[in-house]
Amino acid sequence: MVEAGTHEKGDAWVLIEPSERREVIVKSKLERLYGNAIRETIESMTSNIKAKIVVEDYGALDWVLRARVESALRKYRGEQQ
Amino acid sequence: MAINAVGRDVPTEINGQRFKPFAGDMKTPPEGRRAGSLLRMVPEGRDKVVDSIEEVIKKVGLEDGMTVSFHHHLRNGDFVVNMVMETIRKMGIKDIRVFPTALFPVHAPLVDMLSDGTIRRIEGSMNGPLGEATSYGAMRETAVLRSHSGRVRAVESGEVHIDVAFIAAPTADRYGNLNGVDGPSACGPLAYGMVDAYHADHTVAITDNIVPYPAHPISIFQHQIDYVVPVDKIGDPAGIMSGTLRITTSPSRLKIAKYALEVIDRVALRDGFSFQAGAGGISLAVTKFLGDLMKKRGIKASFINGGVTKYVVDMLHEGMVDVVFDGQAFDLDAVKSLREDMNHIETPLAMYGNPYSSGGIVNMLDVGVLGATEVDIDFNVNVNTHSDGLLLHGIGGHQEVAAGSALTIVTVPLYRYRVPVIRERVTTVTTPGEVVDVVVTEHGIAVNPKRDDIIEAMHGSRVPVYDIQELQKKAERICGKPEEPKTTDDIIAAILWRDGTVIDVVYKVKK
Repeated sequence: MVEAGTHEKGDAWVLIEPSERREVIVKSKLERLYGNAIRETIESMTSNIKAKIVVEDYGALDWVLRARVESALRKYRGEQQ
Repeated sequence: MAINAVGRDVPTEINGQRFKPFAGDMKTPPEGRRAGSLLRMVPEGRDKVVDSIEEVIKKVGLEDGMTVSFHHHLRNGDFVVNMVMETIRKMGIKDIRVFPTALFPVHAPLVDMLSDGTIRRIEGSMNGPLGEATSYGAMRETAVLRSHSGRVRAVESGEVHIDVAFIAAPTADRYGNLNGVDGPSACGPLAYGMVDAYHADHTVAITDNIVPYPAHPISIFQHQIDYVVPVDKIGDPAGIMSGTLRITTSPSRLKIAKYALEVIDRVALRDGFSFQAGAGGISLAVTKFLGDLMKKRGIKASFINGGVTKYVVDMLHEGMVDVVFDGQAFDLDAVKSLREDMNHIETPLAMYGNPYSSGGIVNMLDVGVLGATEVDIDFNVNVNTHSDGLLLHGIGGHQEVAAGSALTIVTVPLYRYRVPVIRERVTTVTTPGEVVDVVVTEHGIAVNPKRDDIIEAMHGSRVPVYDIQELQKKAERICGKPEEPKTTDDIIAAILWRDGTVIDVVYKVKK
């Protein structure tokens, strides 16, 4: 299990843990404004990973979100090797 | 429905009452005469004290369907609204129209009264939970939001008739003289409550500080108060006063303040100028920087209209401004100064910016610096709803300060977290672009094209000047385009311009 990011405003927190089936859980303070955009970003970056992915968004700009997801992904791949 | 002057489709009837569509500031002349209150004769005796709220409600004869009013000088520390409304609910009185100047998160207990039949509608600012509940459809009738001055106009014109005004009074004597500068719940002026005291059929002061007759100073006079009800506490000082307000420390917010200062310097700064002050982080910074610049230039201001804080009081004490007009005090320094300084003047809200009067303070303002939730490419400003459509804030004095000031500056970040602030179209129009001159962001400023003089004055400045469309595109590039609010066709609130015309409406948000 790996985590990246923080629970600060303007940031996002990402958790990835190994799982039999792929599962993506997104919680966002801006669900109504950017829920779809956030899911698209996560999907495009993690679609090849079979794991449980939890993202809590606190109003992160898209590239902040991407950085947090990428950070979590690299940690995750490192642990899997 | 009709299309108004800012292109919004607005109803001509709200809660069974006729309203005109917004036609532009000062474009709809008033009709008729000022409305009055019930004539009454005080009973014999030298004492107006009634022991409980329940008893006073019986005495004034509050009935189903009537209108009760409150002022919000106690802000988020207020106990009076909940105390009175809970008593009304317990007494089984229904269908009340609540007419506050503003409600705050502390008034969340009223949410249940929207559904249990106690309250049919609220006409006033709703900051937080009540606004949110209303957005989701909790209120039976349509909410009506007015600016500070618009509310005064509504009362004076008879658009809203107050049956009973409940006036929180930090200090009172037994014969109904009131002030807000003394007592454990001191709040400063009682400016918001004055129009209610004058125009309501019945007036009740609620106090936690009875003093020997006559109370002094006097903000609201005895001939306008029918009853005085003593209670343990009218409020929580921690919620009434803001504590020490701090200037923003964010470099980008400070940059906004510095850009705004340069606009003021080039366009309006001169000996004897005047400005509107507020308590927001950027607004405080502008006030502070303006004070520093005035010292450097050796000039002083004729008056500051507040929103009074320590920063304003310091300028008064240093002789940098002749007079402070006070409609609202934000900290204890402001309260103390109002009590002690002759040139710190409590102003009735009727004097603020009512367009249907012989002229308000805002008409004499050189500079008004305001905030916004959103601004659009037509310079329209939204301070009421968030970009997801939820109604979460009141209008305050935004409309009249923007309309009255010779130079109206709106200071905003280009985006907040991921939410763009400069939009193609604001979610709700509170203040029309016609009365907004300059939008200042941390990236640069945009000047309303009709203000050639300001564009001219900014030549040679280090402050970047953009078309507002460029700022909007920049914000969208950074944030991405947000989804539209998910709303239904049901109107949950009407936003009135200060003259009582409908400038916009707020739609019900889907859960």
